[in-house]
Amino acid sequence: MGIRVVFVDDEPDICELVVDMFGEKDILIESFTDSEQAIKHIHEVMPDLVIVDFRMPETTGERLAARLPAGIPVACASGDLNLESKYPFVKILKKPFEMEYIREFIGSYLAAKKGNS
Amino acid sequence: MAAISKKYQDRIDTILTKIDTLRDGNELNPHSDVATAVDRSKWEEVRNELLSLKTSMTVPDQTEKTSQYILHDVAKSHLEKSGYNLVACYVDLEKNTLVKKKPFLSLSNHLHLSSNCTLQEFYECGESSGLKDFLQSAANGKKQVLSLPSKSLNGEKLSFTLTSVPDYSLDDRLVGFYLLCEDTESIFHDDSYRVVMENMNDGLVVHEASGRIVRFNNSALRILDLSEDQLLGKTSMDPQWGAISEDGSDFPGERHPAVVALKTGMQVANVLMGVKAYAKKVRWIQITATPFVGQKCAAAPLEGVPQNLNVIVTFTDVTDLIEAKELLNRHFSVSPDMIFVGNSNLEFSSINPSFAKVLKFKEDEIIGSEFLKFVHPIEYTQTRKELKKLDEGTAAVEFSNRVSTSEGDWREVSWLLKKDKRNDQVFGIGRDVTESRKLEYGFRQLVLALEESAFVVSLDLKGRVISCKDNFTELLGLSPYDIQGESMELVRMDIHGEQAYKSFWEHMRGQKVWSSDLSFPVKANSVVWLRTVVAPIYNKDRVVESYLAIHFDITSEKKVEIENISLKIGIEQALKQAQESQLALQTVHENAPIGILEINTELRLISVNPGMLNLLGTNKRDLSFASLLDFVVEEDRSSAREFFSQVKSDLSMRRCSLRFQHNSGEIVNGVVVSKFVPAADKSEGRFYSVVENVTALVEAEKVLTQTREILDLERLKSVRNAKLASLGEMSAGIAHEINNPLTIITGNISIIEKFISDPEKLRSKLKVIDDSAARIARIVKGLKNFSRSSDTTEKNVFDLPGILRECVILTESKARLESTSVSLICDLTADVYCDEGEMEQVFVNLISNAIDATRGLEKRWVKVIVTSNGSQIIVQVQDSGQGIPEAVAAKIFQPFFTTKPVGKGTGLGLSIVKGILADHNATIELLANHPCTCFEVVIPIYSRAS
Repeated sequence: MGIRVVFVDDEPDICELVVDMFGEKDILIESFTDSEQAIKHIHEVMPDLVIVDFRMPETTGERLAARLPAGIPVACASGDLNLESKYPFVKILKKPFEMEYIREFIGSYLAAKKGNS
Repeated sequence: MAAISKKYQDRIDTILTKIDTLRDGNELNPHSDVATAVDRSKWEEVRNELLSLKTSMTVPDQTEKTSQYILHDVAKSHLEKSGYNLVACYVDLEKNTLVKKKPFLSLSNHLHLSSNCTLQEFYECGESSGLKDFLQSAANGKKQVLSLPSKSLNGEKLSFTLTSVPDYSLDDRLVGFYLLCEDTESIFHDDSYRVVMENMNDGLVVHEASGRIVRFNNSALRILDLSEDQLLGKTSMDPQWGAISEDGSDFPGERHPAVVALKTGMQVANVLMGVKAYAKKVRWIQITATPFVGQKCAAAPLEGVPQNLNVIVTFTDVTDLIEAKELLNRHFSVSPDMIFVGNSNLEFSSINPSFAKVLKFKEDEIIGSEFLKFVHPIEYTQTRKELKKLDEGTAAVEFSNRVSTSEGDWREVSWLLKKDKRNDQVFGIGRDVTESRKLEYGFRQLVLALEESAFVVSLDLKGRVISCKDNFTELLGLSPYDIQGESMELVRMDIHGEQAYKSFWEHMRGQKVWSSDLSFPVKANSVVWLRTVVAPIYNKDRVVESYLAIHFDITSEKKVEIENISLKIGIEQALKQAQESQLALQTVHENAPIGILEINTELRLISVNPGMLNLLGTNKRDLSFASLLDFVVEEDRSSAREFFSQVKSDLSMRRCSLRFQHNSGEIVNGVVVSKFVPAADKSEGRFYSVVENVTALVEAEKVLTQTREILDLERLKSVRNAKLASLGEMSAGIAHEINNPLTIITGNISIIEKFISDPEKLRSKLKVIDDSAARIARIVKGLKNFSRSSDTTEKNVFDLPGILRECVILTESKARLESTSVSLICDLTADVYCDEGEMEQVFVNLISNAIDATRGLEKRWVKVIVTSNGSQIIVQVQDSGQGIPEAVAAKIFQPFFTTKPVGKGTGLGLSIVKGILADHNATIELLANHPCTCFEVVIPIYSRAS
């Protein structure tokens, strides 16, 4: 069984890129450019991992994460040089993405899930 | 006549005696020995009159005679009234004549006697009837009655009664007798007919078959202005009538209605005839002649007319009517107005000469044509509308339109049309107002031009403002409400005072045009000088109704003049004092802290005061005939020469700046005021000049300029500092902005192999990469502009909206961080001449501030709205914030003022923004009363001309 990851970024090109890059067998990536839709979807499907952009037009990654159900790990993707965040993201993922690093990060969640079951 | 008392007779006697004494000169005033023959004859006249009066008042002593005299008077009054009376005639026994009265006509007819018979014929005609005896007795003074039998035409029996009444003179002699007659012979003697005949307003005469007039009434005498004698027995053929027909030609006797009626036996009705006869002016009568069978005539009848045919002629006096008609005709033909009569379709049936003249058509070319045929096509509809009102029952319409002439030009005519409903005719009067309209338009243009170039104010008869143009109130900085009813109070009374007031009213009373230069106070203790011309305005009755004041602004001329005057006064006073008193001259010379010079035409010094020596740093007392130019620095010498030659040429007071060489080697800046005074005796004149040392002032100015330069430099430095500060502030955000597209580029490149099999997807991915790269390039370019060193400004022509777009990009990351939307609302391009980097700094700063202001608000947006008013571009930077508190608003453009926490802002932002904009002739303002925070920047649009 695979894991379900929700990715939120206001740039559609980045969303598409993430799906193209990391979507493979056992990893289902759903991307959203609209934060409200994303929040709604996350509450419905309770994914295994959420990755959010930090700067978005309507909100920030911090505010979005605060509104998600407890227990879902949230990571942040940002192009900022030194990001100061009050929210305890499980990981800060730097833009531009280092592919192997992120694959590893997602892979660790997949492995954990597989190990649990 | 009543008896006269003895008392009056005695009085007359007394007067007579007095006259006799005076006449004989017994009591003549010795001083008036000029009494002439004329005087004496006058006295004689008065005396005779009094004598006759005395005689006439003498009471007759015989009772019988008294009654005769009374009778005499009754007869006399009958004679005079010649009305309804019985007196047929009077036989004057002394003159042996017959005075006939109207009833004599009947008598003579009855006796078959001609109405103009002589006394002899009269005596002899009555032999058979006993009339002769009767008359004989009457001539002997007998009072008697004779009845004569008679028959009317239809055989009716009539009686004819004659009464003789003797006439005595005052001295009791028989002088004549009256014949009173009473006849019942004809209708004319029937009382009721007589009354009608005698009192009717129309004239009435009866012609017998011979054509002679045998009867008439009083109205006939009155209308024809003839006496009885003149009328009786006259025929229509008599050339003395001077009869004329309506067209002025002679009216022949044989065509007279009476003659025609006699000859034809038919009535002739309503013939108009003018009769001059003995009257001074022509009487116009309308005649109707009706034949009837009546008295046989004694004389021979007209040819072919039966002897007993009479004709009764009645006539009405229509003189007034004819005269009125003639007047009307004259008016119609000579009136300068166009007059016409038309039918209900407004086709002309009659026009006057002026009508034809204005339209330049012949009269018969217009008659029968329609009114509308001549109307200008443009006014056709309007005219028709007016004409329609006549059809709808309006009594009269007034309008003006243009009508065409035969020559194709247009005349403007003001019309008054009236409809006569009784005969369905339209009467119209038109006046050619083309010329007056032209004048009017011309006048209106003139007024417009005047109002453009001057300030026009209407004043009432008390000199108070009735109305004025807005430009006048604007000039004075008043509202129209302030100025209404104001008078000379507007003028500075402290300058003009009573004198102007008096002179103004003297001119107005004399209805003359008044002109004067007046100063009017305006805001802030300043005045405007107006050359004022006031002219009376007349109403249509030529009575002054109001005044028109026209003002020309001469403030700038006046300022120069006043400056000159005050200088002139200063110098002239000094000169005057100098002339008056050598001592005063000395005092001024010795003590004035300014240089005073007297210079000849070769610019050699004639006299110099200590003040001047001081200024030049020399203690040489005697500089006489040294050249002034020797003391002027070399560079200024030519301008000094030019200055003095100008002063000499126009004799005006002038000033100029000259630099003098101080003895110490320093340069003294001087202001020279000079006036040339020509010598009275035609020898050379003198320049009188005053020199003021303004070196200290010039030095101060220099220091000021230097300070300003230093400050400018400081400003440039702080601009750069502020720029670096905001650069640091932005760098974090900018990194994010660059890293996002970079993510897309690197990410897509790393997985590009995946798409090799799918060319379409590959193409789209490459495009995404390309777009992202362009995005990075754009950001870097904006950053480059922004961070460029600005020690020197490099201005060029840039499209401001383009710069604004870059500013929005530069601030996009910050906006994203604050989750604020920044939108640029702009649909124009506008070139401004600016330093691109500085301009970017201004707007990045403003937008960045706006983003900060939205922090933590529920609604967060920033709008950059760009509009233009043609010459300026207006950029509003608005944010959703609640605005800026007044206390803060007052200080935001001050340097080092900030509301941000320490470390977050330099406090230089807005002051620098303001400085940069000022450097671009642009302004920034925080709009008060705006629902949200709004900074408005106004920048001039670049045009080649500027």
